Amino acid sequence: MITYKPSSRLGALNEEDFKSDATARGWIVSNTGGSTVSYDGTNGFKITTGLSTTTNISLTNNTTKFMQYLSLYFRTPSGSRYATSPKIAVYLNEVKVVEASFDLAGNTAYEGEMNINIFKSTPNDYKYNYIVAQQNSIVTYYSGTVNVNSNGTNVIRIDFDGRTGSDGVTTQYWYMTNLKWV
Amino acid sequence: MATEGVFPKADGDKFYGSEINSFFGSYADVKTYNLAVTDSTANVDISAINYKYTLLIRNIGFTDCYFDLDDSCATTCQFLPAGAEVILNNCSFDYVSAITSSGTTTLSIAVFTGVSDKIGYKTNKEILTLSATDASSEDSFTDTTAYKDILITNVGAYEVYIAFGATATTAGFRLEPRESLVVNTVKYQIAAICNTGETATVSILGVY
Repeated sequence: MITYKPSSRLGALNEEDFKSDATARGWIVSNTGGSTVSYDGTNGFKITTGLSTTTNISLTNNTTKFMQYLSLYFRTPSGSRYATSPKIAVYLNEVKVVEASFDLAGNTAYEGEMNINIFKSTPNDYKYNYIVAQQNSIVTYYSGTVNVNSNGTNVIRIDFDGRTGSDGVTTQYWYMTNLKWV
Repeated sequence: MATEGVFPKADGDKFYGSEINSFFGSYADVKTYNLAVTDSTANVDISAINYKYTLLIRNIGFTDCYFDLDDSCATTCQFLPAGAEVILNNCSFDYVSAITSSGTTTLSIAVFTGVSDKIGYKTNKEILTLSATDASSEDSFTDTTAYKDILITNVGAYEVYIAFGATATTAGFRLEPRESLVVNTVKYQIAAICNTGETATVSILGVY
């Protein structure tokens, strides 16, 4: 008799990949600004200081994994003020599937959280229509089809665009945690 | 009268103590190992352990791997996703080997032993790798007569439909990527088919 138990985790690439050495796990960090990206042992990706409105950070991973479910969690700095609304965009195989931004037009000090969930329905069709964004966030939905390479390389890219801290404040940071990927 | 450790049983057959103990998870001892897995084959030697009944293999790392029994391992061996676990009962093998395509992971291995020797151990295995397309394809175990404990895992990247001893159609048993099916059967030919335009790799372990 054989007994088989599937992984109790959501996938081979889960939040632990973000909480430890993400670079060793294949994530490529591309930073066009003056900010730094580190790996906080508790909270995951920590993006610190120096972002301007034209600055962009990309986190890219190539994978042959079968992407069925992707969950991302973002948190902005506490008590920050922004001159512009920071944005996050998620690309699958270079197709933008979701963009979310924080509505901070009032320049009031507050923080925001976002959960982004992407579900895959049929083999070549991702549905992007389940997104939970919380606290002052605006979400743009994109619909369409992403081609998934069955035997080749698939790419997920997460772009951050916007400031990490309030004007003149350089000690704030973003966290991106809770990546789950099947 | 059925032989000890041999399944399936027929009405009127008796169960042996070793079978009942295994069913209820009652063992005399448990030996545990960790196997560091890389892109080169590595193994754990359990040949010196007496009265092996059950073998548990769990991939505790974050990288998928492949494992084999009593042979060196290649990436054509049995697929074991990160976090997954397989338990082989009523078997007695001397080595567990594993490999990754790239990167590293760890296998936690437990060997459960009984209080005395018994007959009916499964000591043979065959591993098949089936490349499924949108036309039915099949592969067969070399042994065509023994009942086998069979583990079938869809490595991906698309769903496949499985048939036993018959041409596969999309009405067959559906396995999503990374899902598995276990069965004990005397059917020795396994067929698979994908949806139109898709392909998948199916990893099949038979123990007997």
